[in-house]
Amino acid sequence: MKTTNKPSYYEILLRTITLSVTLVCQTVHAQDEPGNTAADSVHDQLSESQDGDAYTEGDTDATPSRDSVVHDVKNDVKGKDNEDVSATSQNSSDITHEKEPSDLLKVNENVSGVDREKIQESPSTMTSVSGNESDSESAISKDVDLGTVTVMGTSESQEVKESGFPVTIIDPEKFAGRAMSVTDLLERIPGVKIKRSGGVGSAAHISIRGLEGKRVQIYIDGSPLNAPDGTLGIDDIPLHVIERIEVYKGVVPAKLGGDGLGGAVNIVIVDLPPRYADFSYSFQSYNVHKPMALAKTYFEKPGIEWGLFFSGQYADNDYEMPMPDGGTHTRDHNRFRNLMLATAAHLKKTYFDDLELELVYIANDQQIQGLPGYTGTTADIPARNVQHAKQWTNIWLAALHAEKDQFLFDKLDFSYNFAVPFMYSGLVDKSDTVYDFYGNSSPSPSGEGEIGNGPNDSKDKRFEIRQKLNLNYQLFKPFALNLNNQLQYTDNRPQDDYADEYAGWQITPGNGKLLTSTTGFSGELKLFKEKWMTIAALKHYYFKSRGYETVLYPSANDSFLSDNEEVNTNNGLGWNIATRYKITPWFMLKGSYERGQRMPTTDEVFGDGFTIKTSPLLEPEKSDNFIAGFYIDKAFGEGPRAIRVTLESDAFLMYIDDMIRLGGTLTKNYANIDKAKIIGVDGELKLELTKYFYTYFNWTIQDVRNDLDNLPGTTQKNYLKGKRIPNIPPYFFNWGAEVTLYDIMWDWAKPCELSIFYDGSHVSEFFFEYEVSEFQKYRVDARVLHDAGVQLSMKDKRYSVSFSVDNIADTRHYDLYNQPLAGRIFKLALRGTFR
Amino acid sequence: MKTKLPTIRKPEYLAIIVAIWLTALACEETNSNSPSSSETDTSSDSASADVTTWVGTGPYGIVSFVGESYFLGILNSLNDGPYTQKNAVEADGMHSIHYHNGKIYQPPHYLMGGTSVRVFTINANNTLTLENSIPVAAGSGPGPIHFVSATKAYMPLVVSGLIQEFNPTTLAITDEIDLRSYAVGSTPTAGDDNSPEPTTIISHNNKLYVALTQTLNDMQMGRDVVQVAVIDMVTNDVETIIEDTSRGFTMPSNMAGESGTMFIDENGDLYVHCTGSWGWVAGQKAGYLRIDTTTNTFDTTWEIDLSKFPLNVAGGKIDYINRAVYAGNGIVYGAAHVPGAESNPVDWVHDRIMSYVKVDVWNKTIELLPLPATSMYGAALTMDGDYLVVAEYNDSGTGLYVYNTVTETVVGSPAISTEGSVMLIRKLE
Repeated sequence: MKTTNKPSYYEILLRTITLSVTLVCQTVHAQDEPGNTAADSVHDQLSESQDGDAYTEGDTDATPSRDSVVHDVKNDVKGKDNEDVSATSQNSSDITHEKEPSDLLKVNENVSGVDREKIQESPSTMTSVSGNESDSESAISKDVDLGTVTVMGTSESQEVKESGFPVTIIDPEKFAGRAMSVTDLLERIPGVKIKRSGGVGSAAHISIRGLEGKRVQIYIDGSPLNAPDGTLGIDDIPLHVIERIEVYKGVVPAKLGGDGLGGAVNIVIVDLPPRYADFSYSFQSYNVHKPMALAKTYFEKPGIEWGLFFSGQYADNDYEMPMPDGGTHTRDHNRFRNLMLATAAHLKKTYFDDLELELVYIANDQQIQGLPGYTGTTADIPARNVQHAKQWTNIWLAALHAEKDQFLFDKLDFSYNFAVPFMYSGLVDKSDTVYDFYGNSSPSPSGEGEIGNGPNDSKDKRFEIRQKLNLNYQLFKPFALNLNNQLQYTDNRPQDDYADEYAGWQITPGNGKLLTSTTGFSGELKLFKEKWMTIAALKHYYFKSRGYETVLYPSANDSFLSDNEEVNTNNGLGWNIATRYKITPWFMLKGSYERGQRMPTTDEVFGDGFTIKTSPLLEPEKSDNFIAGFYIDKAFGEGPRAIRVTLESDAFLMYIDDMIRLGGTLTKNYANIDKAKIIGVDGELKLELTKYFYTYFNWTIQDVRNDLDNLPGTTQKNYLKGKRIPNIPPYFFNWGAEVTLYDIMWDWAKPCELSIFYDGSHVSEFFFEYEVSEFQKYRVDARVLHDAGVQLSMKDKRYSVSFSVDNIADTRHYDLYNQPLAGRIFKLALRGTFR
Repeated sequence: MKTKLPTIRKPEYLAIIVAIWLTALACEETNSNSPSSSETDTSSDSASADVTTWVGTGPYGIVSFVGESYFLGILNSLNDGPYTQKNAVEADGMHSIHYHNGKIYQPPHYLMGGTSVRVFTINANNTLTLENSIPVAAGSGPGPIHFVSATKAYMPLVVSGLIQEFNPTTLAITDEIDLRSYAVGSTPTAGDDNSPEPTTIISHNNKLYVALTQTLNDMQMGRDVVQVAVIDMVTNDVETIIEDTSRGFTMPSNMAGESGTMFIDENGDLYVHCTGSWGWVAGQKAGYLRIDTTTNTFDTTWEIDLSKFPLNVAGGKIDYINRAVYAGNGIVYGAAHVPGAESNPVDWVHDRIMSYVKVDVWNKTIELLPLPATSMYGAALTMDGDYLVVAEYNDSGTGLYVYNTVTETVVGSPAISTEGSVMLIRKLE
């Protein structure tokens, strides 16, 4: 939501400084580009940053582009405590960029070494922030000794944080030079737990305050990403291209669209400078390699920004896992390979502020690792030493994004996303030999196949159309309306002729189609000088699924699928409200409520066409989520010796109803039968003790219990009511510290930072099943893990090298029962950026 | 499971019958509401009175389904009140439990990755202590164990297609019988697999009789054949495969290896229940076939096709029997599947698809027992003297019911309630 405030004198001064610095920097980088004068570059830069026009006084609607040299500076620039900013000037001309974990922005511009003659030669085609052309000419032609300028502003991250939603924002930039993944970051925030089943590339489920799997939605720039079974795919995205990660814990803004029960992760992709290159390579234990390369450039005449992206992952995951006999076995069939290629073109000279076309290709290939011990699951984890079976995925995606402020009408902002992914995936399991963990082999009992009930060579196709429309209208100053619609069409075509022929039956699920539409209408109100802000939303969910009926007792067609198509339609309404009040500029109270709905997935409605039958009467899961909390963000002092304290905490209460569960014995299907009640509190304390030292501690205490009154279908009281739901740790903590030293290295590397960091975590024990016996042994033990490392960033973070060790003590640990994770992991990462 | 059939000398048999008859008379005098053979007794007072006077009262080994997991526990007596899990241990699945010489042997679920058959001792307070285990290869699929003596037992590996002979006292593997060459390729086009899926084993006249389920790719659908392997217990060599391919029956016995699914009666005839691919393959039949153990051939003139017997159930008929116990004298009690009670789309929450029946293989009759219909979450049964103890998951909830097979009356409704759905119950004897 935009705000419109008339700039103060200090803001005008700031913009002058900004303009000058921009001119200087662009000249430095543009001097080798023929036919592209520094002035043109700067003009274009400014054009980007302000609706096509240069900064002018009184142009209070302008929002600087993130592509500009000055990042994330809003018009209504305020200080840390919401006071007006005054630009300070010192004799030193060193001004550098910084971005701090608190998400408030300090921007200092380095103007050392500027080629001022280049500036003087440039035609003065732009206007300075003062609105006076003659002033701008003199501003450009004069030497400018800016000294040290500190700019404080409200970043988009901070806006999200202060919206009243229960949300944690992660800024991955600091970690981009380390060998870390998205899930590594998510695991460190309060309320979030990642459940991995193995090494790099393995399935991982995210749990947010006890909500997990399909109940948590994953978005990329507001578009859903989820795999149908709820596992994450976000580790395919390198940290370098992520602007921020928003984790919503109980209430989700309507603008994200999608269904869900209040847990959501939104990954916002960074908008990089028009000319930019980024190369990185990381290596870690168990032969894990992750190269990444990104390059983009800008063609001025047509106004096209064009970029190429490549990333890859290779992992052997050959760590040792314990055996039931007390020994260990090195995992020898867990190789993971991933490739992502993308190209994108931003068209800058069209009616739209931004028009982007993107093509993406992703390929995954993963060997399936068997486990020797009891895992309590059937078929998912093969109970033998698998040596050949693997699964693969290819995804092609074409996407269009368009956004326009003042679209058709004044005050109406428009954004639109359209994507067409095509997924092609399969499971290959055709070995005629099976193996144990002691070097012995024998013919496959099924004839062919190492896992499950027979061979597979599936080639499943899935075609989707996704579109998302967002309209934002500033009705009057404190009140804005937002309309958001997310539409998704899925055509699922599983195919496994090999398995069908081998079985003599059609055991492959039938084709299915799914149409979902989520429409959200929200209003945002800010009153009392924006101390009080409330966003309320109404959501409508529509779900239509088409598949084939199943028969219980096939006649002559050798299939459980009938020829009759079946349609399941669901409608639902949800709503939420999030409010916050700033008692002081640094102390905020917030509260929110959501009535959420999660639509059934296609496989829940139509089963697998064989033993899991259709569930056409399936209804959405529902939740009522209540969250209340506070947020304190207080700085003491200024400059490098400032101390900053951030303390936040939420209490949450959630009732989940009509939870979908698979049941039945020989013949199964899904039914709405479970209920849960979640009570908890989580929070985080962060301390920045000068710019040299940072520490944090966060906590999560969650009580997730069965809340079903009677045994399903009976009048008997449910003996599990009030018992903890299994596989959810009741509490966990994270803590860490980081020491940063500045400019202690060689002169050529300056400005540089040396960071020494440590992170620890503790997760309580939790049971694999409901706790009904005094003699239960199947549990995941409590564990404490320690990670540490060092990172050196040079030349204003353009180059970095980091070395770290995860699980220093080599502690054996699990996220899921009897599915061991890797022990100590050494990591090395190198990165270089060019702007 | 103990597969050796109890032999009762006639004088004892008569005495027991008289005693029970007298008891029943006494109950009738004291309880004017005593039900007829076609009614269900819902009086809890009469349930308590009956339970305290009956001959056998346990103990029982019970595998229950709680949440999404299985637990193994001991119920000492139905007089102890509701059954809870507080003394139970985690069970790696629910296919079979066996009792021998004071110990419980529990194989793991063949798909859940368990790699050992666990051996428990039963403590005085009805808790279980894991004493030892028999290692098995991951994914080999251990099946129902047949105990021959204190030093000899056989365990089929259903998925691997082997039978392991072991010493139940030392738990040492003493021999291995390879049946993989007897795996049958399906008709007409699917490829061969490498396991004939051996399940229930019984012994008679120094021979092992092994049901070969011969399923399609372990997918619980049978090929068009019923086979029983005959193995010499001295040499462990396969003597012959008794086979029937002409009548459409399929899938002999089952993974639980219960006595009512394959047994030898007092006349020396072997009866084997065929599951008929759970009704999923059109044209395949479920029911009982008979083998003459003197010639080791199927009696092609004798069969019980379960679907041919009209019963007062939804749809008028049953198809396969999931759990069954042999009570002697040609009588089998079982939990039978009622296809007409199954909704489409499936409603496993409310459908009561199993009914308890009495099958008389000597007279070829089938009767419906006066017990409530149940879902498959709770269709389990065991014999305790002349009493049939059955599990139920019905509209009232989960519990154990007792059926007096002599008076043909039900004791309690339920006799006791249970925490969890009882999926297996065994009288420990």
